[in-house]
Amino acid sequence: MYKWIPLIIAIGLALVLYTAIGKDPTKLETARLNDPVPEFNLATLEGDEQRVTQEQLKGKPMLLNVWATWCPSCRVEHDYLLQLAKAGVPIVGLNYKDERPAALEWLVRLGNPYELNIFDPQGKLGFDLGVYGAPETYLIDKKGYVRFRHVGVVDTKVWAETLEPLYLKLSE
Amino acid sequence: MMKIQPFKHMASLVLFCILTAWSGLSLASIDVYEFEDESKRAEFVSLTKELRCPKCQNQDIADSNAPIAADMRKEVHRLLEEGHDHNSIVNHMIERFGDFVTYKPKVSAETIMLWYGPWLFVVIGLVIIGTMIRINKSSRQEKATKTDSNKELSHSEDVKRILAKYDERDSKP
Repeated sequence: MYKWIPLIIAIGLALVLYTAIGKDPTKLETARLNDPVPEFNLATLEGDEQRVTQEQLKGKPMLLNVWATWCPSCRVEHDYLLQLAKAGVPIVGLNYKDERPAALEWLVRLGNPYELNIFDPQGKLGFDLGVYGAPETYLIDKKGYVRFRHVGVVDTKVWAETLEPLYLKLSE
Repeated sequence: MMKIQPFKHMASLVLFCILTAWSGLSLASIDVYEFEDESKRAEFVSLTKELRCPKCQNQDIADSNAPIAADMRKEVHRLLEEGHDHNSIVNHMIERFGDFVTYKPKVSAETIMLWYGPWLFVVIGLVIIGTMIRINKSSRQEKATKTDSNKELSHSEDVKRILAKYDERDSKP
């Protein structure tokens, strides 16, 4: 009887360790999941006169895309964001720790997929959201709650497999 | 010439030791923070060692050059100057970045194995050792009693045999 103990322990350990295989250790939990978007009062990218608050992120489900001109992956996903915008998906941009002229120039040159752009040069809203690396894309429901976060590039696969099903559910 | 040789070795050894020790120093965070009092500075040092950089896999924010770590140091400084205590600052970070950011996660259903797992393994080990000792002891005892009774048996058989011999001799006319 006792001679089976090491085998049982080994199998138990193998099962525990197996569950961790394939997990990406750089992906963090979303601490803000199912919480409202933190309160903020920031300028739009276009100018300081116009202010944006969390209230503008309510009313319909939308994507909140964290981007910057210094972020190479943001360039990668930009064309796909244009496609999504064309298809009617509302996208709000959070211009994160960037410079205004560079960001504006980027939108003129590459096209603007955003309904609205929040200018956050200090990364304040980014910090409160728990952004740890651009690009990040949040799915916000019509009440202004964070329902999902994707860290990394949004492409056809990510949209079809994770974001779109959730977006469609929130749009019902 | 020969006299200088050992000194040369000594000098290079000393240099080697100094360079080796120096290489371990962390020169990552170069930003300077002013504090109202020394206790807050100490708190800042302990907090930046306890908080983990979300972008890095295994670096505290005191040690990391990542922009997010710099932001977190700035935020820790701001909160300390505003009078927040250790726990509220750690909670402030967990609220934004999740349990990942602290090297001392709160005890919860998810982290209970981290906190008490090692003790569990110690207990399991002790139980196994205890069981093995008991099994060993009892089997040795069993063996011992077995040989004892064997001896007794053979002894009594010897006696019987001898007595039988005597009986035989006595019964002879």
